[in-house]
Amino acid sequence: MLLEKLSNAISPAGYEGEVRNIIIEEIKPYVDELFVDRMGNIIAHKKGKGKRVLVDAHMDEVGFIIIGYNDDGTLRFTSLGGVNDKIPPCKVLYVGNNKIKGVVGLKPIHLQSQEDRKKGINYEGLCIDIGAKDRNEAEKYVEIGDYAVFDTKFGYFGENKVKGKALDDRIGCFILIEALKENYSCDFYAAFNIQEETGRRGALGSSFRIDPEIGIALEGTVCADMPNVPEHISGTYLGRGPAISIMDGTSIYDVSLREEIEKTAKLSNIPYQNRRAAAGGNDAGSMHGVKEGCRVAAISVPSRYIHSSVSVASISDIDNGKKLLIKFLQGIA
Amino acid sequence: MELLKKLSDASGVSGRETIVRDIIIEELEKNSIEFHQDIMGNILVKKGNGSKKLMISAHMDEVGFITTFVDKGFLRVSNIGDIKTESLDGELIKINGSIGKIVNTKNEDDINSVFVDMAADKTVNINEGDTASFIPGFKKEKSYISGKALVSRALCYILLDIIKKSAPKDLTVYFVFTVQNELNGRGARAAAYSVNPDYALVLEGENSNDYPGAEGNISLNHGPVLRIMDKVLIMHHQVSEIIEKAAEKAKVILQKTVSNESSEGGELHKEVSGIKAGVLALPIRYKHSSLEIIGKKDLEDLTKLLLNIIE
Repeated sequence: MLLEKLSNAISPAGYEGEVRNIIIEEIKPYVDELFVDRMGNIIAHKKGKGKRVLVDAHMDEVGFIIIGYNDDGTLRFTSLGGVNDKIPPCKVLYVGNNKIKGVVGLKPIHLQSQEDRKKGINYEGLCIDIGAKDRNEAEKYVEIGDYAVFDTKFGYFGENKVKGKALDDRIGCFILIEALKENYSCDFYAAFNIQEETGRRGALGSSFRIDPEIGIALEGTVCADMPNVPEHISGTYLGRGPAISIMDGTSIYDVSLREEIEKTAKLSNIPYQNRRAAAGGNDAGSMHGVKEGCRVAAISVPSRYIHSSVSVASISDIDNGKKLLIKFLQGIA
Repeated sequence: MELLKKLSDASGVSGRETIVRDIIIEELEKNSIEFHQDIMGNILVKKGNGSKKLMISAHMDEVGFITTFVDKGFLRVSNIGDIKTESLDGELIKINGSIGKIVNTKNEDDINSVFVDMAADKTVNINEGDTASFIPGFKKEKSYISGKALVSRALCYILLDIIKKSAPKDLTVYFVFTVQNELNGRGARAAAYSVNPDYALVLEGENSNDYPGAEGNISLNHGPVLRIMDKVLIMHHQVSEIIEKAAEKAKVILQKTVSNESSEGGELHKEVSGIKAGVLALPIRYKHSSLEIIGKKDLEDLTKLLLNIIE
């Protein structure tokens, strides 16, 4: 399955090459125009006589970057994008282009201070063990600036669910690819952007170039539908359909656009939910933040355990997200 | 003053400026003044035909709340813009015509622990995404004016006033009523891109510290504030020269400050190839609360000063 290929691809922020190649191969037959811009974003165009619409998904995933060596041959590292420092310990990573395996170590519990135990250990206290015997050997295999990502493999589990890394935002990429296979009367641009996780940087370039009237961000979004989290701060629920954003840290979404999307969902019997959170941010902020701005909306697929080594999403949410986007775009003249 | 009351009482949080915009449009149409509404929702009025372009902006939006969850008669909300969450307990808000009481019993700076009691049974006519503002309470005293959202609406009022009164000779002036100021000046940024002015004057409110226990040097009715620098903008020296010269001519005394606040000038002055910008502010007590207070003399002085700048 395409989503599996996308999820397994190793492409942290700033190093999106692998997933970019998969996407280009996949969408080539379906678009009128296709190129990679100066920043590294893929821009695809399906010409139409209607409104200029930009739909965006980001190719990058959160990961890590190597910033130094310890004398014992372990590597010092920090995050690329937002990865809470409680996440990396005791995980296996792929380091660099050669996919060298690395293990993130953690001090044994009896050596952890009271503060370590309470607060957890931050990046300064963590290191990646690649099995090197000393610094010299480590330097032979890994360079400073090499990236690292989780070694998680995509899989199906439970009823109607998938698990894998980078579902934020390979799910968005997947939906956008599928949407490009259909036909529309609007002037449809698709941007697969770089470096969303490090500050929505790629989207600035693609949005400036395309200058859309309507911008839609596709995302994998927070889903804290877990025990001990009150409903009002859970954001979204798995299986209740794609989430339509109200507001986040980078956009307050256009009311009429949101209503049109809701109307589309109701008319087509597609379940949907509101994204009940105002935190976070996405490429929509960049879309309306260049030139004269535009009307923006965001459609997201709930993804549990986002920005960690593994996320969980519902296949029906993904499917309904795809349907909703396609129906909505087909309704734009 | 009837117009200022109307503007202050109107509900219009960032991204939901329609009611305020409609009041402004009505006022412009009544006076046969042409305007343009851009894609973000800003209102632009152009006057004069000089070679240099000056943009003067005031924002339409106010801080407030957006509903994220409805639980029978209780609402969960997020703040729109910069609001002191820890001091919200007991404040009253207006949402879809109903009054609600904000409860933050822990007085913590965490919006997730805040709820709104709508004093309603099971069903309330409120949906996720609906917005709320502080309850209106406009009041005019001899020297002071108080009410909600004055930090934006008093400046919209001034802008409307100078649109009507000014006749720029050697300048092209763009008067802009902006959206989403309280969300990092998103509207002003877009307007600055399309106008591409030589100079930009941002009209703002400056925290006034003339109440018991407050520290600072800004007082009500002591004159408009020339903000030399704030967190996001250093006033261009040519802009401050223009203001100071006009102040001398208009016999308006200025208060000067280095501010720890922000404004839409930050986003605006980085647009296109850079814009010479500065903030001119109205002293205001209790900014971003349900009752803001401004001085009547400051309002008049700022109007006088702006008219002098344009002439």
